[in-house]
Amino acid sequence: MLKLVKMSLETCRVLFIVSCLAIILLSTLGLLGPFLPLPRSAERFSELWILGPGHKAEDYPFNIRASEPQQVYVGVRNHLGASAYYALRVRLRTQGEPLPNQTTTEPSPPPSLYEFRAFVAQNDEWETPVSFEVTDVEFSAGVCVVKGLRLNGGTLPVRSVSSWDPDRRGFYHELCFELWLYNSTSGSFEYHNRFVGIWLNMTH
Amino acid sequence: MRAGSLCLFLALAALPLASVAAARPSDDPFARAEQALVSAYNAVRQAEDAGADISPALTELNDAASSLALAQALYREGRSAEAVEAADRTSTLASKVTEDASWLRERATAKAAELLTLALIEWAAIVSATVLLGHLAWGWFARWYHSRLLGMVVAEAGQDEP
Repeated sequence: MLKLVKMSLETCRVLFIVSCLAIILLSTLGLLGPFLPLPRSAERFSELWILGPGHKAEDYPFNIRASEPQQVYVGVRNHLGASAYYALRVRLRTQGEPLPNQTTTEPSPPPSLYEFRAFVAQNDEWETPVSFEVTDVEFSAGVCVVKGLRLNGGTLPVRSVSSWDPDRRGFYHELCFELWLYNSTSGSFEYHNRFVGIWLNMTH
Repeated sequence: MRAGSLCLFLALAALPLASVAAARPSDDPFARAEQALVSAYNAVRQAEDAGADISPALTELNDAASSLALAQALYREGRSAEAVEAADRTSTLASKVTEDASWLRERATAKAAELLTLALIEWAAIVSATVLLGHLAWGWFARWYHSRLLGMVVAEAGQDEP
């Protein structure tokens, strides 16, 4: 009987000590937790979008003519866990030219016509209106050559040659926006493997 | 011998040209503005890592980036003087952000140290209070337990006696 009672008292002592240690552990986590460098497990990525003139994902410019102003909105949202320095490069490509390569993270070959720069805080977004207008275009024998593009008020020299597409019946060019991210370690911008674009059918 | 002298002369003559070429990027207002933006961004990142609120600094950095975009647009239109002015404005804005970010980082570091000290004091007080109160509570519990146990033994012994 006495042995049983003694064991029970020992169990109580252990429970008591464990309770005290639990209180100490909880208070340690609560008070010192914010100062401990815990690993962040959330997925890190950037959002990139393009919206039509009504600030919705509809009514994108499609059939366009020279000297006809168009507008879209392009935006970026940062989920990288820290503030980021982005560059948004604008290119005009045709159906024959390759898209950015998602596997090798290589950008599209046509030259960058314009570049937006944005500093975006973690979980914050940046958006800009993009107004554009084809200023100089030439059609001849199944070929369309875009020679001039006005983008956000500035005229850009461009040479984009497209052939007549008999299936889709048009001369197609894609206004492509590529997202680049500044890498502090390498000290340069690197293609962030994100792009959006709208197809434009050049008409007379 | 004559060829060797000629090579030496050409090498010496090329030295000032090479130094001018190396110095060119820093003289270029666009390169200077780009470099100022990068330095400012790095300073802001350090402030962010220290726990500072960097939202105002990022807004100013975006203003500086817009100024650089304007400079490039003006340059494309052939308005060089205005472009240089806009690029210089970018450098000025970015330099200000760098200074502000350093100050933000220092302030955030000091605040973090202050908070850590306070948390350590609170933690020490909680640990001390838990140990002390635990010790007192255990003493009280042990006394209560033994008195109850002794009472039980006496009562049961009385009942068991023939």
